[in-house]
Amino acid sequence: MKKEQGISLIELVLVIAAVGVLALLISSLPSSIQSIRNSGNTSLAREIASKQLDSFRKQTYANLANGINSFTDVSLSKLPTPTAQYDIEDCPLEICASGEEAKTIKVTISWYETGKLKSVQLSTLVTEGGLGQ
Amino acid sequence: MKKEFGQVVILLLLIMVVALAIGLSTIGRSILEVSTSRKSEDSSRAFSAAEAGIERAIKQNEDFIGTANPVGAVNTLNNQAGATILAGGINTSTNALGFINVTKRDFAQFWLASPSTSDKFYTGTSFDIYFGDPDIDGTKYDKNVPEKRANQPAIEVNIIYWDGSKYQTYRRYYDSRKDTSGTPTPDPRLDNNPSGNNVCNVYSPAAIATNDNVLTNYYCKVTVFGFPNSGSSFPLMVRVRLLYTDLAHPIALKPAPGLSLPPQANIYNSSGTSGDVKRTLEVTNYRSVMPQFFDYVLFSANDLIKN
Repeated sequence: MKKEQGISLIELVLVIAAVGVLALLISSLPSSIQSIRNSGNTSLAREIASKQLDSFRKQTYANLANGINSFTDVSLSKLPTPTAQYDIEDCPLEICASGEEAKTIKVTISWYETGKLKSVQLSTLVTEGGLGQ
Repeated sequence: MKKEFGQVVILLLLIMVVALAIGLSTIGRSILEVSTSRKSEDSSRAFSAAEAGIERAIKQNEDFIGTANPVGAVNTLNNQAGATILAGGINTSTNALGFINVTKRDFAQFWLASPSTSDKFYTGTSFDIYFGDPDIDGTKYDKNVPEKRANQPAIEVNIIYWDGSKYQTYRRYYDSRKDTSGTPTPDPRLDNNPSGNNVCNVYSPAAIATNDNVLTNYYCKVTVFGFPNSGSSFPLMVRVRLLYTDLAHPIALKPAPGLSLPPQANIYNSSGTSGDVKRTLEVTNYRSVMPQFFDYVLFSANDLIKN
């Protein structure tokens, strides 16, 4: 049998495939890690927002003044360049069709992640004498 | 030469397997994290929407206990999540209405008139009150063995009624330590009740079905009668309070045979949905009533003059 010289085609293909798979994996690692961080931030933002909604439920209804305001939370600083605000409005007629006395409250937490603005928004209704009051 | 080349392939394979394992686990974890956080966000939204639905139902029905037919599917909050609201009353039909753990700081409240309109509902002239946990002293009650009735309570039954022109109260006290014949068992507590009706009519009565259709055992059954319920006077509500006990006991009111109690409260059931997540909240809304100590307050529109 003749002694083989150099590299066969199969060997070359195998090596290229291996290198390709490795390169693909390594290139996708940063974005995976980024999305893990992103989901952690989203969860944190969601918790801050729902905590804020709960605190509105416990407030006296008359103290819920219409308007957009920002608020702070101890966990907020864990998000990169965060903003936290709530928007209180009278319940619009398309929701409160029979004109119930109610407020819509929207809590929005947003932050920057790799240059992109991400946000989480929760909204609910609060009425006088409703839940938590 | 050939031998060495084989070793390189094995080494390469090993490295690739390790790298694949690390890479795949990272990707897998990130997929898991993303889907978890999306689900929990959806869940929060659905919960907020369900709460919004409850708030709206409460507001719509605040003056209508028991009519309970209102809201269908409502898109409570645009672009985010919707809530479906159902409402119904706690309806006892002819079953008893029971409270499970009443303590001495608390009381059991039963409406005999419609809670929302205060119109006459209950037409009977008597009803039964069941009270006391039969197993609270370890073993089944035996009225002749002191340690087996050590923690059994007495009760105060306070019926608030409309006499045609004003609200009045009709109060009765019942001690579980008195015999049906009226003979005090060794240590009776409510000796001075003038009515003479202050006894258990039945000890350890047969279990009765309460509003949730659960058969419940009680220690003592008394029949309350004598309150005005004819012409323009009718009973509004019954408030039952425990005496002589530090422990929690069940209390139930069973209407006279064939009669029923008015719906006592509204039940709202709101389902919020967001994405694939659905969350359901159920709230029971009783009409607010004065706390117990107001039963002992004297109200007067004018100055009180003591003669």
